[in-house]
Amino acid sequence: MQADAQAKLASVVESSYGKLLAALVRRWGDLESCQDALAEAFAVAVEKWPTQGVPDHHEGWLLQVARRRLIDGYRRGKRGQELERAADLEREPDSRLPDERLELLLLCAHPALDIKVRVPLMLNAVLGLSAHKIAAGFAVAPATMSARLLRAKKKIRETGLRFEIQPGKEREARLKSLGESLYLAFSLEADELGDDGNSGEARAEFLALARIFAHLDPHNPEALGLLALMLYQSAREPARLDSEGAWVAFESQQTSLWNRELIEEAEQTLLRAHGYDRLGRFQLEAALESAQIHGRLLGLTDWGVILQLYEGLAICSPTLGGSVAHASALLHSGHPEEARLKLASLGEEAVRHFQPYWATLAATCRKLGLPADARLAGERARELARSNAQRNFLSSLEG
Amino acid sequence: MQFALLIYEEQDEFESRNDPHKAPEYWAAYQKYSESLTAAGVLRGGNALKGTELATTVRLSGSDTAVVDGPFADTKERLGGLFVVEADSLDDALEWARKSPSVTRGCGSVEVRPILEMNAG
Repeated sequence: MQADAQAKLASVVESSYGKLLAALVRRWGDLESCQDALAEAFAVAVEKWPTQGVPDHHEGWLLQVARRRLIDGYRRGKRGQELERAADLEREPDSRLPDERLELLLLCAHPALDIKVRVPLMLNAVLGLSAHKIAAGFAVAPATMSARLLRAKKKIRETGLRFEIQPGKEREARLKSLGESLYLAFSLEADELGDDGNSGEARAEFLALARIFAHLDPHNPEALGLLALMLYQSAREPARLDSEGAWVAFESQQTSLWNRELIEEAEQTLLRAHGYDRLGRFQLEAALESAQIHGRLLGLTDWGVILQLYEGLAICSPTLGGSVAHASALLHSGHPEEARLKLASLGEEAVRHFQPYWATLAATCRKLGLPADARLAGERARELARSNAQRNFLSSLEG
Repeated sequence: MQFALLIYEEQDEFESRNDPHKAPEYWAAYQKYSESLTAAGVLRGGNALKGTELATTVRLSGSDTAVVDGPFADTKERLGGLFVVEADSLDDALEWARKSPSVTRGCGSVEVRPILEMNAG
């Protein structure tokens, strides 16, 4: 019985934390005190459920306890306005629990919050992960992560950041920022923590957020595109490093290590996104992953399609990373001279510290028979490499 | 809650106040802005400030106070004035900040800060 209650509680935390918190924040606004109240409700459940049994409507039960705590807390505050609010909350009927996690995600993606704290805040608020756990995924000290989260929550409270956003320009911008923040965290994780054994776990958490995003905003093709992109990349994750921990280039990855289930899910997701006929950055990037993955699986890469997708990406969302990847595709499809021109068109200042630029330049110069230039670019690429796996890989190319 | 909208302006924008060709448009923009805040019933106070060439900064230096000519920090944009507005949320205050002439004229920025309520508790 006791074990049952424990298991039930663990599963409620996992499945309902974000929903419960969203319901509290909608009424209360202050993320931090809502989290405290919810933590207390869980503590009461730990104490009572094993002996008194698990309540039928366990979500409503937890919400009720948390609300009670918030009301008591505000009563102790004894401020007129807050007392009114407490009375107001008591009148609130205990209805069913709506899923407002998207609003919670959008609150965390508020432009008034530091970009570095947005995804950690999402993990903390929507998935209920502790600062300690989040810190490991971002390679910072737990105390640092804790301080960042507290600062963000204080800003939400002290400036009354709004939970609800009306449809319109502001909401569109916030949805875009949500997708970009998520992808940034996901790709940084891949690059910077290449040597870290924990990396898979953190990526799974970002993927969980992307699933929630796509699930709650199902008519947003870019949310689906982002999920597809992250699924493709996660599918290839097991082949990213070899048995010695060295980084493996896409062209040489062992396709038998790719996760076919994730690839299939990515395909379905991307197909749904295309159904809306509204292209965007993430859908194009996912389509590129798809074309390249199928090229490897079929042993025949359609470079025409790939180059076309890169051109589309350059128009819809021009980025340095996109341009360098485009150059790399030109190189691999037998156009090294065009690859060199593409690389030469990029601003000198912009590429100075951009590692993929130097790695691609080195490969291009090697292909064009310019060994001295290739060596210089290769050295620069190694200097800038952020993980040993990447460095070893680059060294192996020099032969 | 109340928010201060701190109006920062680039040098040229600030000086257009005293330029007979530019001043009418400059003041008209602020007049209109201030009227829209009043019409919405959110304006709680504010003032325009004279130039930083008239600023004097005082700070403690050792056991004595030191008085120095000039503003606290010499930056590209300087504080030209401030509005105090009533808003439920930073989001609403940001909406007002976006409409401020220093933003719409593209010659400055607005720093939005919540005001500390001293009579609370």
